[in-house]
Amino acid sequence: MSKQFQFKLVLLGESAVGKSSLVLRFVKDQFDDYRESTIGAAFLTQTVTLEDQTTVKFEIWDTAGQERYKSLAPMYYRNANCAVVVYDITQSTSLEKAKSWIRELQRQADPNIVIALCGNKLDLAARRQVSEEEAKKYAEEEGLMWGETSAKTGEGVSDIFTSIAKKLPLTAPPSARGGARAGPARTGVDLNKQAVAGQGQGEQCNC
Amino acid sequence: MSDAFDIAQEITRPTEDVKVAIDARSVPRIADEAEKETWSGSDHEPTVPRRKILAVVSHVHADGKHEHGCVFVFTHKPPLVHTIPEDYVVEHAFPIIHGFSISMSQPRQTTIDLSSPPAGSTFTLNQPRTELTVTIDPGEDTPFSPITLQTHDIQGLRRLLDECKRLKEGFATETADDYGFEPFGWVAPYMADHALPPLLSSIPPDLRKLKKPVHTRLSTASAGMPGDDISDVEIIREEWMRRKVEDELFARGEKAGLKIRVGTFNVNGKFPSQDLSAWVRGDVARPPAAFIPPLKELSPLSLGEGQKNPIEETLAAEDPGNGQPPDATSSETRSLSTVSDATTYVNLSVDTQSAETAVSDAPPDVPEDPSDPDMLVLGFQELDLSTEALLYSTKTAREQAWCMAAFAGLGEKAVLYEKLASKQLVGMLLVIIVKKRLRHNFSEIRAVSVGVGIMGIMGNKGATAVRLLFTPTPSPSAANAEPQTRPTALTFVNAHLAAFDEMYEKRNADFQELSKRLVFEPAISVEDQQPPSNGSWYSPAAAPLSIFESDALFWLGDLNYRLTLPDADVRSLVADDQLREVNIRTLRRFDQLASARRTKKAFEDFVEQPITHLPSYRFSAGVLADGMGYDMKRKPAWTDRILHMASKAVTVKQRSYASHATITMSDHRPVSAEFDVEVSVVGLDEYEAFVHRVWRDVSAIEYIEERPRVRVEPTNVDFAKISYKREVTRTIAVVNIGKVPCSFRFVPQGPTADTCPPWLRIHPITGLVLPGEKVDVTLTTQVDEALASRLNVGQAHLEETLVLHTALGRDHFVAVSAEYERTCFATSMSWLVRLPGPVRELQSPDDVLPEDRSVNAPREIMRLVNWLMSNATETDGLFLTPGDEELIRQIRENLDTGGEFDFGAAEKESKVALAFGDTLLQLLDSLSEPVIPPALHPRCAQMTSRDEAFELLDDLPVVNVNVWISLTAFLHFLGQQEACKGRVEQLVAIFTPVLFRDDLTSPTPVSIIGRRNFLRYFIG
Ligand SMILES: Nc1nc2c(ncn2[C@@H]2O[C@H](COP(=O)(O)OP(=O)(O)OP(=O)(O)O)[C@@H](O)[C@H]2O)c(=O)[nH]1
Ligand SMILES: [Mg+2]
Repeated sequence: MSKQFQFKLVLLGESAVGKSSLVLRFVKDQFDDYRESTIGAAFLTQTVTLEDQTTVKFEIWDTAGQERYKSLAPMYYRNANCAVVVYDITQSTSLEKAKSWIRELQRQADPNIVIALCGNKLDLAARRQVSEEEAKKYAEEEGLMWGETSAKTGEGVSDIFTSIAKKLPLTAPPSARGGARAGPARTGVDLNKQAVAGQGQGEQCNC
Repeated sequence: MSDAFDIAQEITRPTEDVKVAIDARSVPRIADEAEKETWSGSDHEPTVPRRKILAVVSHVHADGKHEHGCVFVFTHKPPLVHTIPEDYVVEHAFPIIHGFSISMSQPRQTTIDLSSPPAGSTFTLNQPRTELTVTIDPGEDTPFSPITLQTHDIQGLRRLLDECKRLKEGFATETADDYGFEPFGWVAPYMADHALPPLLSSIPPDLRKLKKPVHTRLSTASAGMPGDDISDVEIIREEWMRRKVEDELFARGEKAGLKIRVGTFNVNGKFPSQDLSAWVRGDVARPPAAFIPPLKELSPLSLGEGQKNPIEETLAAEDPGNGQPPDATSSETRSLSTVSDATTYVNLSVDTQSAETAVSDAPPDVPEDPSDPDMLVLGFQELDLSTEALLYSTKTAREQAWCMAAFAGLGEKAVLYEKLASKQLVGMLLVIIVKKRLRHNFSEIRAVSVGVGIMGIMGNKGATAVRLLFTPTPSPSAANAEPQTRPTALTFVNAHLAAFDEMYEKRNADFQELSKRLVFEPAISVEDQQPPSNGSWYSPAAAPLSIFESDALFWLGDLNYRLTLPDADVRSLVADDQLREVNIRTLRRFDQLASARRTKKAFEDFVEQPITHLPSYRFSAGVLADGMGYDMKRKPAWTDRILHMASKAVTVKQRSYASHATITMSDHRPVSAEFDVEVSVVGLDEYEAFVHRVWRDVSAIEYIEERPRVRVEPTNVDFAKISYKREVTRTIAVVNIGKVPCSFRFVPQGPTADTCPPWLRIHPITGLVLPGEKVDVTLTTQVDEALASRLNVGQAHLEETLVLHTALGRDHFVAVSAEYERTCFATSMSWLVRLPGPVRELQSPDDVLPEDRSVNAPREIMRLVNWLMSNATETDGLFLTPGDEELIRQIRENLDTGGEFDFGAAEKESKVALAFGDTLLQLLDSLSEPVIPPALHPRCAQMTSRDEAFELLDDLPVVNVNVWISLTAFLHFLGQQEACKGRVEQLVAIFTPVLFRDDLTSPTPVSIIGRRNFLRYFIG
């Protein structure tokens, strides 16, 4: 039987860089030229299946990029297992903003958090202000994953989520339990194991 | 008849697509003759087959990719209410899956339409239509069996078959791995429709639960941390349904009133020896009593005839003739059921016929007055103080004596009434008397008693309670009069709690204990209890019922709560009839019951109308009594109380609350309260249909896989300026732009935060919006004393983000901001004197002057005193008559901004002076610490001379002394004026609680009289 894990993922980044668009592409494979700015936080789920048939279910929190709501971001990234910090390759200021989010995450978030830096709007490469080298170098220095995407064309989108899934610690302690939404798991929760345990024929448990 | 398609659309949710819908009917049993014989006499099968609707409904999943279909059969519900046209239910739902098949065939013989004229005459117009037979086979893997229907609609059926084919082919191309959801999960809600929606229970919800705001019952949640959305949805939805029923069903319907007069009387073991009319009838002007109460005959011995052996006679309800004038014999028949140990169940099968007879028995010269109560609820305590009564908890002759006296007190009206039920436990007796005319409106009477006295169980203290259902009769004119209307559950508790001043905590504990143990056990009836006609869900509850499971609960009795003020204070406060009103108000602040309610130790969420009568306890005669007749050995107190609590299903308005001084036979005075209870007259069927209809829209929303979508507008709310005691309201709309009902709640930003800042109120804080609808949420800023005292010394710019969480959906932010305008109210005098100028000009709280540069006394207080000195010394009623709110607001504004007082032509009018007086009182009352700090109150109260009093001022901060001196000098001057002659005492009484504001949490209050004396040394 294939294994199933569940992780909490949060998207951060300046307003209009395309966070909501990325999620929409990833979850529904759609794109919308006129998206309203997010005033709040949206919760969505999507599952990726890895080569070894392991499935990883992401609980995605898409946050508001507008400065005014910055103080609420910690509420959404706390307990997150992974974060996708997005910038717009056509706006160099958005990379600066992304860097400040990364610093905040490194300081405040769970120390084991997996962070991916994502340069979006790759389809507008002609108007590029942030070079691949610059971003990649920064990501390497900080030990982050990095990739470029286009929510519009879909390019790179599933790659970035798949690589995150691969990088997450897919080893769940057998005793892990609890509703994922109520108390997001610090590490992956193997849903199959849970189910088995629920049927009272669980494996060895040393608790 | 509506179009099948419209009906199907109406029944299905907006997330579904009705592809085809056609009229159909069940196959008439052609060869039924044989069968009919077997089922002889049974005419259950309707002669005309019920209308059905056959529909193909499809559902496209949220992923936009998968479409699934289902064949529905809707069937017309047996008519409950004819006014609701589309009352259809889902009879079958067959998912279109692999094994599913549908086929049509033409029966060999065409059915002749019998309603057509004989063939031949108009055959060209009325050709018998062809009936087609449709057979649906749900497939072998399903739990359903095939069904067959008939239809005339050939065209429709063709399209229906085509749709089924298309959907089945679509389904065949999918594999289970394609989707991570239950493909036919969307069908579940239609089947869940048969589950019993909340609100259909015949047991009203616990009143205590209803009084708790909904959001306090939801799961813990905050931004980014949703709680248990599913259970929240259930709670929010139930509340929403309840609102809907109240606002749309109850509010628009006919109302029935029930006038209830409640009385409580601790009779101190006495037999009735006085006219009780003041208590049972109120002090209404009326013609002299036609019926003279046979007081002399009311001795236990004279009761011999009507009296039965008290041990044998354990039934609570008895022949009302016992308590009535002899000429009013009732012809009613009733069957009485047996009793369990402490619970009594009374089965009142009074037929309407005899109830009418009873009315006609009343002499024609006894007209009913609208002011006559419909129901009299009398609670007695200490009915019997004998030891036997305590040991054998039985009914005594005294009950009859008191009932008789109560009827006698009703005078000529007595013939209109009869006793409905009663319950006694030792000295406690609860009697319910109703108008005969209304007798048949009461049913399912239950009674219970609980002792909490000696050893925690004896009946010297405790309570007896009666619960009954009141079923209003619809007025004959009501267009849609239902024979059976929805009943209202009324519960009455008569309690006697622990005595003595210091037993405060025991009384609270008694209340809690009684709340728990007063449980009405289910009926144990001799006869089969017939459920009221056609209300299948509404049968007498088999469950035990708490007293709080009522629509309205009245709690009366000798609750024994005392006053905490010193004995001498209480006596002198009640003795002064010049200052009665203000003194009673003062006393109320020291009432233990008020404090129990404030601290939620007992009677939380009950309502008690403010008392205006004198303490009802404890009276004595002769040398043992003070000038007012109160016993010298016991501090007077309001021991005898009447409180209530009601759900929104009924309206309870209290009309009076009084004690009756003329009834002097006991050491307590009886107390009464009159209530107008209003209930909605709604047919049971109508109610049930309404609830089902509302339920259909929202049932199972927690299982629908579509995410709710709402738009919140605006997302930015700027209140601009907000100030003390001025409410500002803004509205935001929550619009449902999705396809499923959305329940929402505001959540705090973090686990330890509050849902909204203290300066804001959100209403409603939870809600539910149907697709396409919107809900207005009001945001109100309201700055009261406590808040102003915090805001005054903080930053003026206020900013917050509210988080609105949609269940199973996203969070929405609403940014709110406001600019607080500082006020001199609700601050401390020591802060006011450090203000460099008017408080409004203060930019930052750090801008106050250092202490050594502060002024002598708060400018604001001085400005008011000066203005009053020059303009108001002649004003009649200064400080006594409340001022005009708007004028007070203007004066306050001038104080805060430093603006000139300018009232133009009105300047000299007394209303302006009165407003100034009131403003001064309000300003002093709002100070975070009173002019005389509480720590000094005990010493102030002990001063015995003017000189001593002046000396004590040395211990006050200098600012306080300055304020004290200027104020008292002004009040002294005022006392000398013509307009205020003889008003010194009133001024003293009014200013004492303000200048010496009490710390209400202190268990031993300082003498009010002592503090008044202190003030009198300065202004007298
Ligand atoms: N050309 C192009 N436009 C994009 C791409 N991604 C997003 N956009 C557009 O950029 C705008 C902003 O995208 P959103 O997804 O709303 O941005 P956001 O980061 O969620 O913004 P906030 O919600 O305000 O924090 C929209 O008009 C999108 O259509 C992309 O990859 N290419
Ligand atoms: Mg967004």
